[in-house]
Amino acid sequence: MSIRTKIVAAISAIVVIVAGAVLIAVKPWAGGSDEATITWWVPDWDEAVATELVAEFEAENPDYDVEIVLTTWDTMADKIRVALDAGTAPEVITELTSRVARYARADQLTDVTSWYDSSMPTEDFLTSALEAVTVNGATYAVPFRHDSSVLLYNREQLAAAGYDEAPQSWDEVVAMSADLTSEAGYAFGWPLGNDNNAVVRWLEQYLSNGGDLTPAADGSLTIDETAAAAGLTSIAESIQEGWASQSSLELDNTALRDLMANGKVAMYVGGAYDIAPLQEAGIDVGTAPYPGVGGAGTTTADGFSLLVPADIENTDGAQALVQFLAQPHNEAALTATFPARVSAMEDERFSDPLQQPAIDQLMEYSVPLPNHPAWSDMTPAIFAAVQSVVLGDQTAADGAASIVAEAERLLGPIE
Amino acid sequence: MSALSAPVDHAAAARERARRSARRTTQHGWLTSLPGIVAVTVLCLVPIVMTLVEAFSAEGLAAARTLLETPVLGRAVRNTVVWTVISVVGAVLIGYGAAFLLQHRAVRWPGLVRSLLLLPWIVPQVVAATIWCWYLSQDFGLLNRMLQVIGLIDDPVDWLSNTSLVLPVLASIQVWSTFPFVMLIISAGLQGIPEELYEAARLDGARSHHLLRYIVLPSLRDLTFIVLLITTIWAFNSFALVWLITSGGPADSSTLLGVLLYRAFQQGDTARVAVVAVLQFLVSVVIALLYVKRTREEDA
Repeated sequence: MSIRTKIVAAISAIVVIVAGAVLIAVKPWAGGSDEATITWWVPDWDEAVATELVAEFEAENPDYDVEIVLTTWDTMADKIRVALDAGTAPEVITELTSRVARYARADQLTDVTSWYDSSMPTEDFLTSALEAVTVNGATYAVPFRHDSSVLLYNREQLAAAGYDEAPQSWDEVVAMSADLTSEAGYAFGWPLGNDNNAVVRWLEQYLSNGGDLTPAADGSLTIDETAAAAGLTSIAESIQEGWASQSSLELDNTALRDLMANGKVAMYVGGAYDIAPLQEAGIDVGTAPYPGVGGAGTTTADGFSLLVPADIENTDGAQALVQFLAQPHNEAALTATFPARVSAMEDERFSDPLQQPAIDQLMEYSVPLPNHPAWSDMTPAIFAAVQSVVLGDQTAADGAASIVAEAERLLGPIE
Repeated sequence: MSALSAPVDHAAAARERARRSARRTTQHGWLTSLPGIVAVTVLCLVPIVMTLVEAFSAEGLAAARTLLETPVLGRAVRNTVVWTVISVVGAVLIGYGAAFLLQHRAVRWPGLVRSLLLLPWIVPQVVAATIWCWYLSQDFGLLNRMLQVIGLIDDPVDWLSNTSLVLPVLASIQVWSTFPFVMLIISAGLQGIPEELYEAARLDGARSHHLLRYIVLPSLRDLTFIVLLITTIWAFNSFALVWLITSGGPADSSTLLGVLLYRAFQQGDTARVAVVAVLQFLVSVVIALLYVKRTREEDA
């Protein structure tokens, strides 16, 4: 070997050894940070408010620096799950409330039961929000946003068809549909092009037709086949009879909102977060409770919570940040819909009359999504059943049977 | 030293110098390649081996049994084959056509035309998926509106929600997206064919179809093989376009193997992910081996 080659080899070896030593010492792949830095994963729609709150927190707690890392709706579930599985998660994560139980059962989260002190008493939190993040008596997250569905309608279109108020039941929706459907648009629309959106809409029909999501004592869940079939029938008939948008199979919640914003759909079920965008689009939007069988229907409630991964180094910092964010005025600022704390509802942000039906739906007619660890695995089966029945590829009875069979396979007793 | 041994020493010394020089070159080559080898090993070989181990573990074999018992795997394989055939054949035919068009004398400003034809390749897949989604909307899409206005259809067509139509429609979008790549490769190949070949053939009385059959196509054979190989592997492993537009629906009618893999990933089912990944990997390896075999035959 020549002198030059030996020199190159020696330098390469030294570089590799030094780089390896630095990597092992710094561990950039590991989540978390040093004692003074708290990393908080925030969804992009909360960025502006989160930045302001972080500035306030850092002013009150000069020993801590908070680093915000943005997530997106489409990628957050995968990103959070991979980070928790790999042990590279940050100190604090904003995550969908209904997904918390899964991580908790995998022992990936810090038990924050003791954090619910006088500054954030459990009595001040919405029961359904706390239930969703509590597993075997221990609480594993702090909810800050909680909401349910609401009926959104175009007041001008309904008035033009001779209706001065929204339908109060599903029968009234069906009765009004003919008057609201024309060549220009449809009476109703469904977001059946997105699996999660479609499952939520089916669940609402399932619950409103007498279905139940209450787990048994051993944690297992049974799906009522009759209510399941009724839910599928309601959705399918609306499209097959021509008064719900024929392109429902192509739409998600956002696309459906765009259709209403363009005057193509008179009514749909969405969230309180849809009110402002529709108003900005010039729609005279009205809201009403979910029209169920014989009156207000039951919907599912979900939201977002702050969770703290297990085995992080800076637990004190994470606790300080989470307890700060959970204060009523901060929850009121951070939520894009409604806070998870009852006292925070008194904020003037939630005094808009348009929001009252959504608040009533949340407080009186909603139930949390099941926190069975395998619940989210039901999504493909329910989605396929909804689409198949709408397309006429199978009957509602067969679709319901397939959902029940999958539930029996997946939603057994929790070990 | 005798006069007789002097020439032998020179030759031996020269051979030794050549041997040492070759050894230095080899060592140098290995050293400079080392970072790349390490990167490929860490980023490619290690994940492949780990996936194979997972797929053939007890959990993996159980996941494979479960998959084989459900209709979704068979449906995904069938859909993937149909998708691949339409995507590859479409992209190659249209890519060839576009390349020939650019060579034609009648085309003014070939640079401008080439730039316009490259647009589908440049547009990000997320943007393309969003645009096509609205363009093909049954009730509010521009395509149905145009077809109704010119009288080709009476009622709107459910391009994306019809289980028979959705896959060919999505494959057509894939063709739209990938034909510019074929066009670029074949254009470069066409420009590499010496003009003298054409002139000589014309002097012998060859017409256009003779030029195409006996000069152009044989000259492009190697490039065509590469283009077929690459577009087949791309199509077989496709995911983004289908996921963004239909999520594999309606009712799994556009579910490809890539979509099946992603659903398993979303559910945290690592065993199923490994099984589907190994299936895709094996098919890709077969395709790659075809290429290696062909390359060796040509070298021989």
